[in-house]
Amino acid sequence: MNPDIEEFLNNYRKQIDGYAQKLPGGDRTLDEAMAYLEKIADVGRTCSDIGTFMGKMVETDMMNKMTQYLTDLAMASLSKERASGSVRIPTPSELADGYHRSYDSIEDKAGSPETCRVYERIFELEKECQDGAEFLARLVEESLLLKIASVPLKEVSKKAMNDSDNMSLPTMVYHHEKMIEMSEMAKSALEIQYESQRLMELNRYELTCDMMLTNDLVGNISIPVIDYFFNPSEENRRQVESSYRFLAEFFGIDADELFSIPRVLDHIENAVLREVRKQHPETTRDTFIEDAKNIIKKCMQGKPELKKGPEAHNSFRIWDKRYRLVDALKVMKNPPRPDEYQT
Amino acid sequence: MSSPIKNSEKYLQGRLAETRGRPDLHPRTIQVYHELINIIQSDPENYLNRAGDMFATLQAEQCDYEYAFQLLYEKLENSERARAHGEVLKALESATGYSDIWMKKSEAVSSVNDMMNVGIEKRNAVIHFFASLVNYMRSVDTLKLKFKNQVLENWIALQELDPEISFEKLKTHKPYCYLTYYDNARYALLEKGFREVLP
Repeated sequence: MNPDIEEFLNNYRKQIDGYAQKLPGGDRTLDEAMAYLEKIADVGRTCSDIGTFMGKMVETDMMNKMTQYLTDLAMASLSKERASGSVRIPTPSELADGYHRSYDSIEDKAGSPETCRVYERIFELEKECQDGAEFLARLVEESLLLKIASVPLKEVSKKAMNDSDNMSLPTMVYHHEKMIEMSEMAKSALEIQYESQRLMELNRYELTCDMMLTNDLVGNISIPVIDYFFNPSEENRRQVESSYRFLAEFFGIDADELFSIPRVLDHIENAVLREVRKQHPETTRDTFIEDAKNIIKKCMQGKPELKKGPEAHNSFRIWDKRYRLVDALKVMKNPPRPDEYQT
Repeated sequence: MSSPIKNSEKYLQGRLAETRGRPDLHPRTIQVYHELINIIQSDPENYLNRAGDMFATLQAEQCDYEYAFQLLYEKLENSERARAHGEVLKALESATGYSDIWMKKSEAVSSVNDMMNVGIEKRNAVIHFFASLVNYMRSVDTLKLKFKNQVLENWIALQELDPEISFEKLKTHKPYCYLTYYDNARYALLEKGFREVLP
């Protein structure tokens, strides 16, 4: 059998053995649990790796069934202890077991120093405390149950915030700022879960809104321009002309105005050129814009004059507010969320 | 009072204090911790037996979680997802102990899985619809025809997800209109383009 699967089954065996010592021989649930573990082992023998095995465990509901057996055994052991008047308070090590497993599963320990410090403090308390009750009281007293949820979130958000800034995703930068702020303010694990989800849902709207705006401003003209650059056919020229006329009507701007909008410049620098520079590292934002303007000019040569839409089109809406296009970068860094969604 | 009992009270008080930042998110948990604190203060010697297996705290925390998300998605007008959390909440409320709560939760979560995700599918369908419409409006020749077909396909996909879909709904229904940057003038241009596409 695959050693990872064997190890997994051994964990179940150890737990069942622990309950077997507390329950009378012939306990029906104990016998059933042991028989069920054998069924799981049969499945394990047919799998070449732990991933396939876990997939089958979930698919066939075996994991849930086993969890139910273990829970029943735990409850039966507790009832027996309670009936005999010997309710035992768990040791700190028993309670800390799950934290050790979580700590061991952190892949990038060097990149998660604050998270590691929280776990290390828990393990110090595990050694210092006399019993499980004292251990839990100290965990709460030092807010470690909260920190175990908030600190990793803060650490991940800090890294993601820097990445988002380098990829022209201003709404994501804002999102991660809010996540950091929230993780510092929250008082309970549920509050962290709820607020994380709420902030993510609001961010989805803002991210989509910003992506649609940048795509309609930049993507829809740069794609035909690039096509024309590589293949200056009449059909491609007509696509450039048509896309440019659409842009002018839809946003009430021409190429000079388009390429002076800070949101557009940021998107070109950090998103468009990120790709272009993989093949043409010498490309600068200025040369890219100059080339684009020249191609547009060439494609419009001898054609009817460009008709811009009204100045009112020189704007965009996010949530319930309208702003000028020149302010898009600033607004996307701090979107005007409606009050009704603020908690 | 023995030391483990003192520590247990400290723990309960600490957990209760965690709920004070947002009591609206913890209605059931607050109630359960108050009851346990009452027991430990009035009858400390019998606390361990009277508190039982602490299932009530687990159930309260789980129920508070689902209830909070039900309310959140109602506020965000994602009715399917709100209903899905409501179904999981009902399953949790009907649980009677550790032995059945995870099974009931797991069954309920599986049964509402599609309901949970329909909001995401609708959102993606709206994004694809508008992207294809703008592509149609900016294009000429063969590309225009290609994008025209895409607009129709995306509209049908949207209709399947939301039988009440209309251009008016795209403009006014918050879960849809908050996805876009369009104002009324731009919606009017897009609607004109859409009418050209309709058979």
